[in-house]
Amino acid sequence: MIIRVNPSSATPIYLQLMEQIKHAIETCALQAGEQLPTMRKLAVELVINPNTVIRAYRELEREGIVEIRHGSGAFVSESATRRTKISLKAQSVMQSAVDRLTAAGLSEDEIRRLMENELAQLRAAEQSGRDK
Amino acid sequence: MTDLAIEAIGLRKSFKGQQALAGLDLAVPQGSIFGFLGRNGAGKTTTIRILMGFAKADEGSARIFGSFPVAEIRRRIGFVTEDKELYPYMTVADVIRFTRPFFPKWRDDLERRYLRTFDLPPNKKIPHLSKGMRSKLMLLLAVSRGAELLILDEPTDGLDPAAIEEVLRELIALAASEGTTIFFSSHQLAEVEQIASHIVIIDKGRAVVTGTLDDLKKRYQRISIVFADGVRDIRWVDGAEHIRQEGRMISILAGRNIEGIIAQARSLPRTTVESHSVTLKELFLDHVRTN
Amino acid sequence: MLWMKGWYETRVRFLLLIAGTLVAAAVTSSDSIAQAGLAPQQLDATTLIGLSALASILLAGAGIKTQPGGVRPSKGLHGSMYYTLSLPVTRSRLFGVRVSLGLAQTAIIHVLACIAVWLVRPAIRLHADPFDLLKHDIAAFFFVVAVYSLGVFFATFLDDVYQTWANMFTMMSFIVIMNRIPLPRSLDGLFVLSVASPLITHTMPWMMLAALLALSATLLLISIRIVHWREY
Repeated sequence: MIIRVNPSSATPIYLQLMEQIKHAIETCALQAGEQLPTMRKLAVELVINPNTVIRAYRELEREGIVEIRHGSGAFVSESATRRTKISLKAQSVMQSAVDRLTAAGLSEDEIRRLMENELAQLRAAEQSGRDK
Repeated sequence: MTDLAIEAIGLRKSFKGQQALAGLDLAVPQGSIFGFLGRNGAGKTTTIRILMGFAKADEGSARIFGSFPVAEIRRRIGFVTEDKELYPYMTVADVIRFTRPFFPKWRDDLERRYLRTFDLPPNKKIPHLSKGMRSKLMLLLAVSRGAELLILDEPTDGLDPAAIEEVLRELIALAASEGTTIFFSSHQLAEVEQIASHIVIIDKGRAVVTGTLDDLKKRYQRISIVFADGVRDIRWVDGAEHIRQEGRMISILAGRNIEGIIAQARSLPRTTVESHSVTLKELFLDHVRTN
Repeated sequence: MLWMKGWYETRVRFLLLIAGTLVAAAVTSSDSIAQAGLAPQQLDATTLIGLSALASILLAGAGIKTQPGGVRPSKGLHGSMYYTLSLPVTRSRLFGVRVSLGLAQTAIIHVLACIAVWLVRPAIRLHADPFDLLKHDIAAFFFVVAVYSLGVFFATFLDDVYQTWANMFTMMSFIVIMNRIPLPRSLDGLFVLSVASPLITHTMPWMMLAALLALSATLLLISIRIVHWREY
C-alpha cells in the first residue's frame, strides 16, 4: 500500500490518511484481516506527526473499518469489505450523475466545484449541529 | 496543570519602550509537536529567551513542567539557538565532550546515530562548518541531552530540502519512540503543517490563533460572497474575523459561527455565497497581514 | 567541564603572557630607565607588577560571554553565549568557575614574574632582603587582584575587546586621579608599591592591603549581582 499525504492541503492530514486507507480497501489493495503499518512506522515514513496517524486509525475504528488490537496493531475489519460493496454501488450513482452533468455541458472543474461546495455546506451544517 | 510542558500566562516584555510581548498566553501539552509561528519581530525569540530563563518577563509568568525556568529545569530541556552559534575554538567532538557531563541522561546511542545520519565531521572546528551543519550539530546536542522537552528556534534554518526532511524524520522518530515534547519556531509553513500537532500564531506579541492543526483546518472556513449589485457596507454577525474586499466580492475568514455568517450572506439580495476550507498559509497570512 | 571551556578561552593568552613575562624579566634594564627616588631593584619589581596587572586584565572574564580562544576576535561569540546559558548550571557557577580560573592563572604569572626577577636581577639579590621582597610581592599581588576584579567587572557587560580597553582606560584615569587627589598615602596602592614599598620601609603595608581587598571584594560582589540581574 502506498500512502501519500499533502500537508499543505486544507484537508487535515488525518482525513487524507483515512481517505487513502479507505481507498486502498475499496480497491482491494488492503483486504479484510490484513494489518495496517504501525503508527510509528507510518509516521516516520511519511514524516508526519505520530498523533495524526493515531487519530486516523481511531476514527477508522469508530467507523468500523479497522480494528485496533492492543499490542499488535490495527487490522482491516471484516465489516470494511461490506462497505466496499456499498461504495461500489455509490460509484455507479456517481458515474451516472457525472454523465448527466457532462451532458448538460458542465466542465470537469465546474463539477468538482459544485461537489466540493455541496460537501462544504454539509460539513458546515454538521458543525453547527454539533455546536448547538 | 502538570500535563503542560510549557505554560505562559500574560507575558509582557518591553525593550526601551518598544513592546515585544503584549500579554502572550501559551499552553504546550506534553507529548505535542508544537509549531510556533509568527513574522520576524512578532516576539518569538523574546518568548524563547524568557522560557529559557535568559530574560525575565515584565509581567506574567512562564513555567516549564510547572516550575520557573531555573538551572535544574534546563537539565530536562534540549535547546537550539536561533543563530546556531557555538564556541568557535572547539571542534565538533570538543563541544560534545563539553556538553555531555552536564546531562546525567546523556544518550550515547542518539549521539552516535546523529553523527552518522547527519554526517558530522568530529574533528572539524565549529567556524569551518556551514550553517546547515551547525544546525544539525545543535540538534544532536539538544537531542542527546535525553531531554523531555526540545525548544528549537528555527531548527531547519540553512538546511537544504533533503536535509530538512532528514531532520523532520528524526524529530518524528523521537516523538514517536520517546514521547518528547517538541516546541519549535519556523518560517517554513510546509514543515510545520507536516509535523506539528498543535500550532500557535503570534503577532505583535500576542497569540492570535492557537489549537490543534487538524481542528483549526476543520474549524476555519473562507466564505466568499459575490454581490451582483456591488458591495455594500454590512455589519457582519459575530465570528467574522478577517474581512477583505476585492471588487464585487467579499471574503471572510471565520473560525466560528460559519453557519450564521452564511445565513446572513444569503439573506442579502442578489448574492452568491461559497465557502472553502483554508490552508495554514491562508490562516497565517490573514492573521499577520499588516493593514 | 566549565573549567575546560575557560581553559580553551584563555590558554593561548595565558601561554603568551607567560612567555611575555619571562622575556620582559630578562630584558628589562634598570639602568636605562632609572628614575629619581627609585632604586634599580624597586624599578625592576614595579615593572613586573605592571606586567602581571596587564596580564590579569587579559585573563579576566565573567563566564557568561564567550571569549575568543585565540588572540583575534572571532565569529560566533555572542550567539554561543546562549548555548552556555542553556546549560543546567546557575549563573553563579558560570561566574565562579571562570573568575577562579582567571585568578589562578594571574597568580601563576605573578609568581613566575617574582621568581624571574629574583633569578635574573642580581641587583635585587644584592641589595634587598628576601623577606622584604616577599612582602613586596605579596602586596603587589593584592594590587593585581584589584586590577583583575576590575577586569571581571567590565567583563560582565562588555564584550572581550571593549573590556580590555575599558580596563586600560580606567586604570589610567585611576593613576591620574591618584596623582591629583590627596589620598592617605597608606591607601595609595601605586605609592606603596613604589617609593614606599616594603623594600624601603621593611614593613607590610597592612592598610593598603585591607583597602585593596575591600575594593576587590566590592567589585566582585557587584559583578555577581550584575551577572544575576542581567538579561541576555
